Amino acid sequence: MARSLAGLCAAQALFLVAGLGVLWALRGWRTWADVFRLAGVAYLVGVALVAVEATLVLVAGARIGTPFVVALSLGSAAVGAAVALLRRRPAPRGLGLERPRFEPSSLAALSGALITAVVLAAFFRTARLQGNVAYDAWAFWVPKAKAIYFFGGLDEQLFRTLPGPSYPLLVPALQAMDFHLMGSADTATLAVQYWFLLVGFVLAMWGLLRPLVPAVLIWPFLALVTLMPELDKRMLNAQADWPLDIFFAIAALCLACWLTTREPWLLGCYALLLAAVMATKREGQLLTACVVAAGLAATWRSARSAWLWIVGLAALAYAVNLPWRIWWTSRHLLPDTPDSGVGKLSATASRVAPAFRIVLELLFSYDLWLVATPIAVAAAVAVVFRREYGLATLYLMTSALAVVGFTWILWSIPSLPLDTSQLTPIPRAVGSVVLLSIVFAPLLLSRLRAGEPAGPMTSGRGEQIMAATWEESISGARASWRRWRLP
Amino acid sequence: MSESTAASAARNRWSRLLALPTLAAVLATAAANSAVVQLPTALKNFDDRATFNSSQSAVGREIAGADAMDIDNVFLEKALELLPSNTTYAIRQPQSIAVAKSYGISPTTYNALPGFVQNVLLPRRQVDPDAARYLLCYACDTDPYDKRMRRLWQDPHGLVIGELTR
Repeated sequence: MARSLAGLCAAQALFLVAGLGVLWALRGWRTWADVFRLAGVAYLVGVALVAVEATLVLVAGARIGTPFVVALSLGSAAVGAAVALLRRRPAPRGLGLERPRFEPSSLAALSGALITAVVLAAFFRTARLQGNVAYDAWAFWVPKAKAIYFFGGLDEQLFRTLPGPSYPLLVPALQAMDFHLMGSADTATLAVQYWFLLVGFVLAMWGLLRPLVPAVLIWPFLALVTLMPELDKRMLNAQADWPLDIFFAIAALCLACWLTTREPWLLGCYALLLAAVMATKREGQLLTACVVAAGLAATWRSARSAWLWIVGLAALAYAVNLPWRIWWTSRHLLPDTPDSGVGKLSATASRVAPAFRIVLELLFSYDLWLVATPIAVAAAVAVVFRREYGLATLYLMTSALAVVGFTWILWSIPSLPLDTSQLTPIPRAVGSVVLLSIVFAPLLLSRLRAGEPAGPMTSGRGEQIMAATWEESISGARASWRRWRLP
Repeated sequence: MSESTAASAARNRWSRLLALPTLAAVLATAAANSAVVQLPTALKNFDDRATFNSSQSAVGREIAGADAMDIDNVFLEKALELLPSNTTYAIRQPQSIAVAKSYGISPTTYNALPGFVQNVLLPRRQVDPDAARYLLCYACDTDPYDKRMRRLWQDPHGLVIGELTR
């Protein structure tokens, strides 16, 4: 058991190193405090990159083993470092720590941080020895990972016998890499991988928001996310839902931060995480379409400079997933979309209204998610009243389109019961919108704290606490933006 | 005051109200409050689950989902113990759900068994009986296999694990 845990931790360290290399190439590092602040983003980007690369290698017919995982992670980091050196990205200099300023709001933020830390520690105790109990996990996610681990690559014969044979490959590839580093297919320790993803999410959200939002607005939501009953209940289930939701929420947050600061490195993270979103679950394509459409609407005033990036990078992220689609279609595995044609949809039109109601009911359920979504929606509506449309449009439109998409899923599969039970994928699917709400809520609330309405594409007004950092990042972003601007 | 001026003033009043930090503070406080209220329940749930997990044996954790599917734990433990890791096996059940019910096997168990066993026993490969080295019989009819099967383990409810000869 200790060997398994050590191996799993080593795998996470490799993913982190890969991500740090990528971020060095994308943005450079000013100080070690800068590295620490973005360690969560680096970790998630590292997981996304290495796991997506692993899916490509598997599709190409290669075997993966421990040397492969080490080489892939360190190779990704080395390529990132080489690009960083070529582009003269700065390496971290000095600690860069600031003297903490204690105010009443600091105490509130500290309380939130303490609660988050306590909950994550308790969560780890549970994750440490968690058996594999969820149906989807033992029916196909983990068997696929075990097959990759034991047989070296994609076992067409086995995949054909499993439910969801054409489901995307990122989670089995990630679990198989974990097994290799652990030295065995220890499914009980595998739950710790999901704990690391949650910690990565918390740190990534904090790191991305910290320059833009006061800590007192961030930590309540970080505490909230670790305490959401449905997340606590299902995070360790070794399924693909929560990895999908985490990649999606942080990808959308990168886009939101880019709308605010126009720092180009955020688009790099957005693209890498979207590639992981689509490589994790079939719903990933739906969620990507939602965030891209909302991104286009949110940037309609600067369409010329923004749309090509938003659409082009999403298309690139989709292209990375094409080899897997070619692999399973060429082997005539069962497709990964709902089975109803347009004709059948009209025949089951009576399901639309109840399906829509169920999606909303699940999304706003206090028993499942506490108050994350209502708060984010209220904040977004208030921001719209202040005539700031960019961030609010991105959040509201992504959420609304996702709700429509989930309604379509429930509507288009007549075998799914029209209720809120776990027999449908909807209770898990709405988790993506809930995490989206969690990451957007502090950002939207910070806009309300500003003294007067601000135009789109500006930020930081009213954020006295972070004024100095803000000025620095804006001037850096402007300089970077001039270099990256499209012809 | 003209109608448009009044509308503009009303809009400005809304804007000022919404611009106040009050709304942000109220919403952030609601989030914090919700988290604090949930904290004791969550910690208790984590503690209960951690205590349960640590009370399980390593094999118990490996077959953790079996109880939810009402699959016999001893059957799975014996299969893990008796089958070498590089072998092939076949799993057989009663001919139908109706027959299974007469043995006290629920439809949930009946439907879940092959997939669950496949996951637990990997890297052992699940194949047809003709190609299998072992037979896992979950209240199945053993007559077709008895001539070429050496029984390694069985229980009174019709669960059998046997080695097949070609």
